Amino acid sequence: MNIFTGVYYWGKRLLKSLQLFFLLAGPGIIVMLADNDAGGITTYAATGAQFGYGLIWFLVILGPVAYYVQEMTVRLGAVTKRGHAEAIFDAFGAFWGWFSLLDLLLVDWLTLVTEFIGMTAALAIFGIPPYLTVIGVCAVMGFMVLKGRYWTWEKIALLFCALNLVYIPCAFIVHPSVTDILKNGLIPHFPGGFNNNIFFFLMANIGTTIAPWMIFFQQSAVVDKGMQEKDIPFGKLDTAIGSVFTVVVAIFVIIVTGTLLKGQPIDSAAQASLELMKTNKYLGTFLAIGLFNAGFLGAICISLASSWAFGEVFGWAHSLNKKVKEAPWFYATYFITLITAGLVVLIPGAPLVLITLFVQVIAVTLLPAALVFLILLLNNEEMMGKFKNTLWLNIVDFTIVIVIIILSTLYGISALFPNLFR
Amino acid sequence: MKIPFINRVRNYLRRKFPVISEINRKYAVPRIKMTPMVKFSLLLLRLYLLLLVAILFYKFYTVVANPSQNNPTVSAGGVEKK
Repeated sequence: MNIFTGVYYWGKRLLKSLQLFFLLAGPGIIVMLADNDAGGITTYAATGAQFGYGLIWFLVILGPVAYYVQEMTVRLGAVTKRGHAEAIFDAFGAFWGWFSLLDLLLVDWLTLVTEFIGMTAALAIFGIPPYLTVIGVCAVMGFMVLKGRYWTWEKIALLFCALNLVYIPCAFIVHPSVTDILKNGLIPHFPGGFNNNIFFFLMANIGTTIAPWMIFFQQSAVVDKGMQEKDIPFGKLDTAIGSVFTVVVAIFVIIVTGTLLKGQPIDSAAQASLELMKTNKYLGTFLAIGLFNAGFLGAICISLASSWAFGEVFGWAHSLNKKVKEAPWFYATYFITLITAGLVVLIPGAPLVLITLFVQVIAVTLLPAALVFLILLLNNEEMMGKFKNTLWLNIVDFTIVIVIIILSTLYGISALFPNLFR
Repeated sequence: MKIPFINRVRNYLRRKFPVISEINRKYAVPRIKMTPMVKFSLLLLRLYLLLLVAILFYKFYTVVANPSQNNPTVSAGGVEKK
């Protein structure tokens, strides 16, 4: 065999692998980019406005953290062919199962309300009334699932994921100093020293990077997609690419607000968009579109996470590959969650700030449980076989889980007692 | 110790929602092997949740005690904190 034949076969193998990857990619990229939801974008915008580029290094660390947590769901889903809710019921019994399921339903619904807050705030900048936003979002999301195929839903979702990258051109528009980014952003340090305020922001960034719905969503998506044990390496690659994208988007949001809004108190991404519009109309517009898209991406994943979980536990047909007639309860849960969350935002004087704070607190009750169950299941040889955690993975995963539990708990407590860490 | 009220509620729910009873029966016995590590992790989780419930009750008490300091609002389409 000469060198040309070798290169030909190598190229053919590579092309086949790439084709297979594009077929299997989806859940990891979607979940990671949906992680940059309305709340996430607000946190990054506020982080940039407070500390400039100073905390970019921390987000770089959070990329692998998100990857290691989500990678476990790929293995668990592909090996057990069960979503996370069903896996908890099966392995830990009805008590922990009901706790996780009901807590997930509450967290998802409250988070969905916050996504609607972000979306209505973003489109209000363009003069679109909130009721039109809610109707439009529900209609588009309804269309996405009623097409009757997981594949169709996934590809439309990936299209919205691509729109999430709008923050990258935004960062080029503001002409940031690359030297400053490299010098101040990538060298680990705490701008202004380690104090309560910076601690609060570190916790907020962790809180937005790892959310309980992500664990449930990705595992169910892996099962619905029909991924097998042999597909695990592609699932891991999909998750790794997603984690890179999520960090890149977060960093570019920080670069935008860190360049133009440094030192200004920013409470929401919508406020940041309005402030940026004063400097550059297109920049503010891009940021507002990005915020709407972030909320939309979060909403499409979160509402599905609940429907999948209920379907798994109650034994209903629960796949996007089923028609409405074949899986009526699955779609009913999906639409009830979506429409009620949208309606709450339209209630005049609804305590939306309290709901936003409550999300963080309720998420803190579910996240540690979901993570602990995940790691215990991944160590169960009977269930996982050769795909169980290795010693190295256990060291990494345990460290990550313990740190996340401590910091997210402190974040939840800080939501209840705002002056504690400020 | 039997609590008649709880038993009555439980029986009512069983009659009304047989699906839930079925799920409870199906998952009555945890499938995972109860190793010391699993038992310890579940115990820690229970303690953690009890702590969180205690903190939430404390917060609820402070909200009830000082309602004027705890009523932020926001309207759809824009943040409007009080």
